Amino acid sequence: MKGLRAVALLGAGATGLLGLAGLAHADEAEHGLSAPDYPWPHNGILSSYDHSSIRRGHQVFQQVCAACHSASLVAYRDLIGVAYTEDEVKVLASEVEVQDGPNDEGEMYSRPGKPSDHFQNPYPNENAARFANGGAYPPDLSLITKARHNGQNYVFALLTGYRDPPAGVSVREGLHYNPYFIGGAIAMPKMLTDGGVEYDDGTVATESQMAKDVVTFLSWAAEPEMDERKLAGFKWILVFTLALFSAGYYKRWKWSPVKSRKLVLDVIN
Amino acid sequence: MVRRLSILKQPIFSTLNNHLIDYPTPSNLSYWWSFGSLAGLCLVIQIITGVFLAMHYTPHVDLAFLSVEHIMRDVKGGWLLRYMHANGASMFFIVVYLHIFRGLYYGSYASPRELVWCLGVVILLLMIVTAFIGYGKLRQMSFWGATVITSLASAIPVVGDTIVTWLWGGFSVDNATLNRFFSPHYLLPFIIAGAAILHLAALHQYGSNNPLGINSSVDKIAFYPYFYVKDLVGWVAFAIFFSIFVFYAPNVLGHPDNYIPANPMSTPAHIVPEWYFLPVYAILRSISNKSGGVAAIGLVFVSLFALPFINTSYVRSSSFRLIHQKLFWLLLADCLLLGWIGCQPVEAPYVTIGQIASVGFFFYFAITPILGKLEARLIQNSNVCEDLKKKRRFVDNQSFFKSLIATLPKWIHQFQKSKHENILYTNPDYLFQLLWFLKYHTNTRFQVLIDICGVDHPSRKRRFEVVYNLLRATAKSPNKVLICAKQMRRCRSLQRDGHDLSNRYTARDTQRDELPMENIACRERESQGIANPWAIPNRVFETQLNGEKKLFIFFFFICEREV
Repeated sequence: MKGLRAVALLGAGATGLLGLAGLAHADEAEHGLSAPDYPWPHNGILSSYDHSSIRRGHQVFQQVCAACHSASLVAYRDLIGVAYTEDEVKVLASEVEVQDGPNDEGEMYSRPGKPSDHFQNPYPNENAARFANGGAYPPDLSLITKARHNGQNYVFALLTGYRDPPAGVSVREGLHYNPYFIGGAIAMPKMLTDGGVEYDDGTVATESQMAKDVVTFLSWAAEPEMDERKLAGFKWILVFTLALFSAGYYKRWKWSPVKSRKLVLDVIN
Repeated sequence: MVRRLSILKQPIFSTLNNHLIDYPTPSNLSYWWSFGSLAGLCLVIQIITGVFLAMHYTPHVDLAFLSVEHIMRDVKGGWLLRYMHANGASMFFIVVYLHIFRGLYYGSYASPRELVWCLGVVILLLMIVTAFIGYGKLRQMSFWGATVITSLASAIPVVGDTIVTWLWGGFSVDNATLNRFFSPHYLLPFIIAGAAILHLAALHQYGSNNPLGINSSVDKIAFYPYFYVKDLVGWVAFAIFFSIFVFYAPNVLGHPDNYIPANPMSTPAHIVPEWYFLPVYAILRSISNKSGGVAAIGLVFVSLFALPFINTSYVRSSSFRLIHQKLFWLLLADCLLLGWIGCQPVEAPYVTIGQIASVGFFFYFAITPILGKLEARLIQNSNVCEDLKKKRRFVDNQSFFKSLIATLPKWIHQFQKSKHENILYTNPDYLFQLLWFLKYHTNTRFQVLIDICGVDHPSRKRRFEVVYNLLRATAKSPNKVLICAKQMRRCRSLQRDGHDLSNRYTARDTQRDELPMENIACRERESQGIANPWAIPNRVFETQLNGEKKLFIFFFFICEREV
């Protein structure tokens, strides 16, 4: 009886806890809707990035995101062998103006970009960015998939999650309703629409295709070492596993005299 | 006889030899004892990766974040160094926490190893400080963590605010703070290494504890090669575990906000420390008053320091401590619960759960002084039984033993009930089956083996008896049973066999047989009726009972008291 009562109390307590947890999330956008799990092709233990997707994603980034967002940790040279050839990267870099200097006369000057340059910021400083975006600061995207909970899924869900606010929820002028964003009101408008970008490789640029490609690009930008890391991990873990068997056998071998000791009972009756 | 290289007899080398090669170690150490050397490995990994990272890192408020990204992106193998260092800190804490809980379970802190334990707590404190100041790399969560934790010092009366200003090197966490964190972060690991050497020196004074918790000086083996190869297995297994995090989940143990540069203008929704601080953080937060919270954290470490001195149990290993064993697992569950609470927001159910769990944590230390005495009374249960009988709460076990004999007619030859004990006689051939049955059968549950002893009755024809003294603590009363293996007339000799795949160590082990206790017990007295492979003579004493002379040889005795 006593046990049963304890179980019942425990059950009631657990239900109460769950109930409270449920209450906290009654308003879907208050804490941000949690993003679904998408089957990213590079999620597997031995899966590398889809490099043509990185290339397409870079195109989306360049044509859509880069208007407001920086990715200042990424250099053009990083793209060589990842999404573009060296010649393509030289052309890409030379399309941007980079401020350099001072020169021999002490003047700052502009020159065409080189592969060693980092991606240029769209705004000269944070204040300019806030001024241009109604007070909101578009965050730097170079680490965005690592800097958010469940980063890749979150960014994908956010990009494709724009919808009309539910009844009773009003969004301030200049903000946009997106349940995946904490609080539900985001300054960034919906940027991806079908056909927004014309892909080099002829892939049909639907909204979700562009979101997927740009997230793949941003994942690569945040973790450029991932392919190398997974390959190295596989090699090391394989070696350590073999070493574990060897060490286990070696231990048994060395310990056999200790383990096989016995005290023999020799009784004369 | 293997001829030793003479260099090992030279100064310095002889010290190394005594502590790293020939060092006598209990033969029955389990893999839980590998965590000590694993912790040493973790420290070495942290120091090596840290020294290399420091070559590329810039401790400046404007450059720290960028220099870490420089390491991750531009330094060859830099990502590996950084992920090893960041996850290595977590691994170090996992290993050390397991090491601590092993010590708690097997009573490794108990006399005479108090100093070993206290030095261990000092190492833990140093590790916490080192990890905390190393975490502050001017990233969003570490910045706010540093702000919150350092401002705890303001709880100290009078000088608190001065200390905080001194820690910060100004009036907020800034460049000066970063630099005064970075410098000791490089220094402290070497102090930890020094403390670890002291920890080891203190340990080697009395040698390792062992899973049985009994005096193991009669059965020790050399550290080399046995524990090198055993620890090697642990190291390789650890390397696999470590690799899984470094290569496949390098960021799961960290917080995503740490990939955002620190912003003093925006506070994160919930400030969460690294996972290894969560239980202590939960205790801190369970008291809403700042000074109270700091005092509670102080009490955590005071309790840890005090543990060996408030412990009253004669028995070390929890395998033989029925009540402590359960309390231990409760403590572990409580710490995990506290860890979970530590990462929850401060709101309705979590605060109360955290407070209850904090009380639970301190309850363990509060009960420790009483627990040992309580368990000692259980073991000396004859007196307890007498007391209980007087109070008419004693349940007569006669029917229980009758049914036991009826169940096992082949194994139990004779049953005898004395004043305090029930004695079952069996044949040595059935000893293990009977012990197994008594320990694990639902209706018996004699879980504690108090001692094993050999008894020599010189006046009898069948002189030798082996007695297993078992105890069970039931809901109503503790009760005790002695099992006597069949009495034997005479035993001729005791042999110890050593087999090696290549028969290499047999000769050496034969020599090791000549242990003083065995000489007394087995060679001179010719009283060796031991039907147990791990029973090693431990205590010998003679007694006169009812005019009949008896010689007791204790092979196994869980209490460290002299008998």
